Amino acid sequence: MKLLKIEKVWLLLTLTFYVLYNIPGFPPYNNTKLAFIHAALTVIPLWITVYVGLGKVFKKYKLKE
Amino acid sequence: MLNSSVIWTAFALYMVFLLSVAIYVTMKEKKEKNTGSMLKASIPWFVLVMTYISSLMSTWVFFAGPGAYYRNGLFYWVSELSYIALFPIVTHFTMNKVWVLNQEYNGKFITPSDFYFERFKSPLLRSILGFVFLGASLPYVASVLVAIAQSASYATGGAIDYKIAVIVIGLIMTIFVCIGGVKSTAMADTVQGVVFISLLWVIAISCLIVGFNGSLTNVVEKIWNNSNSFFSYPGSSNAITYATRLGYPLSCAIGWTIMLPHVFVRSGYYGDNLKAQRKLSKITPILQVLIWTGTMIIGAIGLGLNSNLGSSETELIIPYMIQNFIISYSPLLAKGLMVGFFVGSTAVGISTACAFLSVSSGIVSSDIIKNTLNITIKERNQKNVDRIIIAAIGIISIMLAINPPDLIFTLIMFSIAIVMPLFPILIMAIYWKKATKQAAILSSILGVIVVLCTYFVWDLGNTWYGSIGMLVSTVVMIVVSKMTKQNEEDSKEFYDKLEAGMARFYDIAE
Repeated sequence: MKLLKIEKVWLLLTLTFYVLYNIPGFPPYNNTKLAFIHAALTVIPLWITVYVGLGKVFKKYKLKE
Repeated sequence: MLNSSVIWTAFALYMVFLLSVAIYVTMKEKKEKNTGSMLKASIPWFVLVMTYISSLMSTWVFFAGPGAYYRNGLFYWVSELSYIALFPIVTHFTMNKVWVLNQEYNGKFITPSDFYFERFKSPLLRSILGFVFLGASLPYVASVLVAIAQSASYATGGAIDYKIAVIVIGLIMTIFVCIGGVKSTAMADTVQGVVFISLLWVIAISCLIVGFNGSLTNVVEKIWNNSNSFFSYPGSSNAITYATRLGYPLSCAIGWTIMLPHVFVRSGYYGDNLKAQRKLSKITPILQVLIWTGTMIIGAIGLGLNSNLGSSETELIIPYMIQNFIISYSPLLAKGLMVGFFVGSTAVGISTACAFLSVSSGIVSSDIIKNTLNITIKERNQKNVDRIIIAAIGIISIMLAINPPDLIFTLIMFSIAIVMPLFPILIMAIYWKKATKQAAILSSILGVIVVLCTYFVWDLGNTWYGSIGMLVSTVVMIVVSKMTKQNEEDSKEFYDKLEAGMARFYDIAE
């Protein structure tokens, strides 16, 4: 099955934020401030990417009645 | 705390409710002259979303869930947000394609193995997968019975005997599924889902009002001052390490929300159209966040009220707060919330157990009796055979729950882990024409063996769950497919139908 360009971009961006969230060593243990910053910079963009991408992909894959 | 008659009344009302749903669905089926299998369904979006979410969530929401947040902290919840977000993308690339194929095969898929068989045409693979999926189901049903019986016993201060509770709940569940099958399970799940989510939040808000005058800020301040490690990795219990932060959510994203057989059939087979499938993709992550946030808030309030609880006490943090804080505020409210705790955990538990019971019956009926043992069942006898299998599995689960093994709750996570290696095979079945049945067979066997080793040899199960098994399964699938060949005719019909289905249901703008 061939993937559309938008699907590839969506998949790539989602994986990027998921990997960024999971980079070992960051944030350092027991560091409250960096833990919040790390979550804000990875998990929030991950959600935005998934849902914005979902809308765009659904537009490309229009449903037939 | 509660009189045993209250719990028996709740059981009786529950039985009446479930039987009413089952009888209603059966009558409707008869009216519409649906004589096919009782283990298949085609349902509208709201029922689909609610049956998915209700069967996904188990008694964990009311028991170990709040305790886990109490011990592991806020970033345990954040790690869960990282996997919940993945659901729409995973379903788009996998389960919606599975749905399209099922439609092209005239909705004949009953078990997850049916899908794999059509791609690889290997009876051996179907049998292996059937046994893996069945092995993942039984501990789940038993563990739910254990949890509900424990909650009945706990809520009544031991007045209700644990074994009697297991037998009663087990029979209610078995009779219900025997009469109504999958469709009645889905219908009941819709109500049970609304009930347990509402009760969860009623408990959370009540505890917040009683413990902290309704102010979440007060909870945060108290925890900030007394248990600051709640707000950072690796949490108060040092459990949310960098490895766990990856291993646990990954197992949830793949094993728990996609590959366990009862959610596989819901997310891949049950939608009555693609709009329903899309709503499932969009809405269930939001519902998951709603549920886990309620559970996390309960755990945080418990920590704010008493930061010195032992691990086993935190597993029952809801009844603990009711008995130690709410009762002094209002005994009536405390009784009401204890009933809510019991009914909520029963609702979420029974929906999961019934879903597993129906799908495991399908696995025995289709994958094992029909396709492994090659026993043909006449269509007019199919429903009765399904009922006998449901009853047999229900009784086995009751017996397992009466004397549960020590590891019964560990087995739940093990069930999730053991199905993870089957995910790469699913992906390659859809997207890689060169994937072979030899690779799929070896990949599933080796993947499962590695998961067993992860738990019982290397003792890494609580960190990595099925992730290592899934990695091995991926590598084996690629390498062995490169080294072996399968007649292209075997998968031709599968890919033709996939292409035809995509053209039938989508208007794709390049």
